[in-house]
Amino acid sequence: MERDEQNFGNLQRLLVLKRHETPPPGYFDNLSREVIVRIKAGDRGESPGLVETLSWEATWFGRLWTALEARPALAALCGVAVCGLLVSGLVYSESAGDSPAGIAVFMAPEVGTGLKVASESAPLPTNPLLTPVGAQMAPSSTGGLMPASTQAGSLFNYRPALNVQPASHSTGPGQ
Amino acid sequence: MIMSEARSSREAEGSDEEGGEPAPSPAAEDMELVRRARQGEFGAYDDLVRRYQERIYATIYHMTSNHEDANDLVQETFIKAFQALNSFKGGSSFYTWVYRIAVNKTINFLKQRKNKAHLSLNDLDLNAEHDPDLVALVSEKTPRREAGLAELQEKLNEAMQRLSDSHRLVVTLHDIQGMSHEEIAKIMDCNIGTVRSRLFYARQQLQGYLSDYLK
Repeated sequence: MERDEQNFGNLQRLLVLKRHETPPPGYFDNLSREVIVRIKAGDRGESPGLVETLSWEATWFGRLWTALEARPALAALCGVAVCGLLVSGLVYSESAGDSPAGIAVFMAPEVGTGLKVASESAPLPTNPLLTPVGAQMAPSSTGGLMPASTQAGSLFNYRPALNVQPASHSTGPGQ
Repeated sequence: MIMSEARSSREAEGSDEEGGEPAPSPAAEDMELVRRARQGEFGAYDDLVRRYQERIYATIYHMTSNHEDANDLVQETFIKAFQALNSFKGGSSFYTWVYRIAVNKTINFLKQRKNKAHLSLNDLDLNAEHDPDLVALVSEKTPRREAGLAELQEKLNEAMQRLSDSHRLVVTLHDIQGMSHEEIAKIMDCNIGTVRSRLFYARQQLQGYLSDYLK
């Protein structure tokens, strides 16, 4: 008991030390002037930010933010949930885009359209890179060769159906 | 006639010195300054700031143990008080009202700061070395007599920062700044019993943290 009282007395003496902590000399001479200057400049006395200027505290988002700010664990859980949704969305969109049917649907109209236009405007040479090795060539109705359409499979086995015609041109009389 | 006028003027002067109208109380002076400040008289508000800046700053500094943070917060306190002058109804003293603003701002700041406390301590004034309480504390009877005042200051502030905000506040207002339980209860908007129990618990915590320096 006496020891507790002595310790308490020593604690009070130690706390006196805090009274001797003083700010730099002249600090209080300038403080009031700085306050008045800021008031005249229209300072609201709070750290400005985009959020403050939008008066977000009055909105539901502001209230939600305030609640999350006071509960960092809840804020962390919300952040993890949002990130998880984002990642799962990305994974889903990539997996949907990777499917061959998707690619065929995605690419075929453009490829077919592009090549068709090219074959109509100018004769195109047969591009071996566009046909699978060993693919059978079938005569087309126009006299050229057309590779047999390949069955749907992986991206590397897919080749668009081409209407390939040998380069030829008719010459007019006198040329 | 001239002598009578002189006598009456001396009597008038004497009555001012001996039994004239009493000087206005500090609270009444504050209300007059508030009235003038509301009308846009910045000089009046400057006087109000000068009256309480040291006490407000000290409270905030002891709560944060950081001079830069205390500087920002004390300025923001007085700016906010100026903007809210019209809402000051005079139910409490201006002193108590500004203190409440300062305490609320500081506690909100500390909640955001959470565990990122960074000490930026003020220097001790020259009187510290001659303070009999401190001299007794670092006397040769203490086992840590070689600990200088600077080390004591650091350990004390670290221990204060380990207290919760409300416990640190009661120790600051009562044990450091010498306020009464009643004044503290008005500032903290709680009852006196709560102030006393928080003070008791805070002192026990500090004694535990600083046991090496209190033996």
